[in-house]
Amino acid sequence: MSLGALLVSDGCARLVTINPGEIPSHNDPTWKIRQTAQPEPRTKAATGAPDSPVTGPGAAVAETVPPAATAVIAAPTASPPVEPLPFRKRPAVLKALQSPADGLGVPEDLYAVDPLLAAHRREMESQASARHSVAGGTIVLGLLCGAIAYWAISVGASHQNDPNESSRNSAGQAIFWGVLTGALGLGEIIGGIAVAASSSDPTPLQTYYRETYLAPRDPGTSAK
Amino acid sequence: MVLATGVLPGCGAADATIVFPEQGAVATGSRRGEGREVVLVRPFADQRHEDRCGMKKNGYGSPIAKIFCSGDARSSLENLLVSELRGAGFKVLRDRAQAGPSTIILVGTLEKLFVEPDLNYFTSAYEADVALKLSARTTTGLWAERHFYVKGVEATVTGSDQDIQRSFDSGIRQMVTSVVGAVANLAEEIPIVPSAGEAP
Repeated sequence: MSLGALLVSDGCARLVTINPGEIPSHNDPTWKIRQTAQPEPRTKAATGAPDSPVTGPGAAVAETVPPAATAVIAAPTASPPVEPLPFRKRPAVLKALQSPADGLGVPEDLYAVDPLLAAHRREMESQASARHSVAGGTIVLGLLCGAIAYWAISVGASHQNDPNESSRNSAGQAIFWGVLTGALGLGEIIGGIAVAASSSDPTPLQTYYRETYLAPRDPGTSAK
Repeated sequence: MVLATGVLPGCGAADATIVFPEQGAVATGSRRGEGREVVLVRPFADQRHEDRCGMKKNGYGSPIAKIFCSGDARSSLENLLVSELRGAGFKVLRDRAQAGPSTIILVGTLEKLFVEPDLNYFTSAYEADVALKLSARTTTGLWAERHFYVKGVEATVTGSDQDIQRSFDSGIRQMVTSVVGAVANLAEEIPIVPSAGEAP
């Protein structure tokens, strides 16, 4: 079995693409902040300085200057920046996060409220579907080879003691090719099982899920 | 039969051409953009080491044919990203000069786009590796970088051109989905600064 798995797993090396196991090392799980944003300068409102020689003591001036005058001399203030509500804190998302997790550790109801997560999941399922089809075909081919091998070996074995030398030679060849075909069939079955048992790469889905729902917002790495 | 199985994944030694999927084929259905402004600076830089988009190999792992992209790979990927960012609700500006303080300015570098068969003794698959580096900036001084690497995989028996195309489509879909999600998450970190006199 281990030899069969070795034959299945080893093959022709990739020349340009990388092994699936190396993908996480080539992916950044989150954005790397090289430089944070600089705060916008605030616009000061000119309401009359307490130490102004014209106004005198601040308290007296505050009681006597009419609000309209204050409004005229005040410069327009910039609206404060709006902090967007994180997606994970939306009510529907919070509710979905409470649902039981699937085999990938993602709450099952989350796929319905987050189309991006669902898109990643669909991709994995599409790859799995193709893989299962190939695995099924490979196993069927292996069984077919096994059936042919059984037939060839049984025919060969039944003619091994034939008085005709030519028949004995043919029987020997039938057994030989039957064994080879049987070995091929066995390899096909093992290969098909290995392909069926393999799984799609969850890196893109899990990267998105962790960044969107699990990664803590560290002030040191925040974009703000 | 052994020889046939060994060379079958590489059969069809003619060069092949793959096309980028239509925008509808990579649509995620997400609306996380919510009107946030984005600028995609074009063209992307190209750091690929290959002038082709893939190769076919025989049972011994030797290249026997080339796979080419229909049209310019960079601009095709840029078009897909722009269309899907718009589809996700982002407001994609055409000109960097239009960027406001909350606009995310994306500069990309295409590092790899290649389709190659992974041949084993009894099974095989076509793999499409797509690698993209994005740099995100705002006019307020934010600068963030991120590497994306995805692999589209299509298990195959015959190694047909359709399987090559499916693996490529899978890789491109994953890249577009990953980028849209990452930009949406970055946008949540950037406060929306309204223009003077404009209500937030």
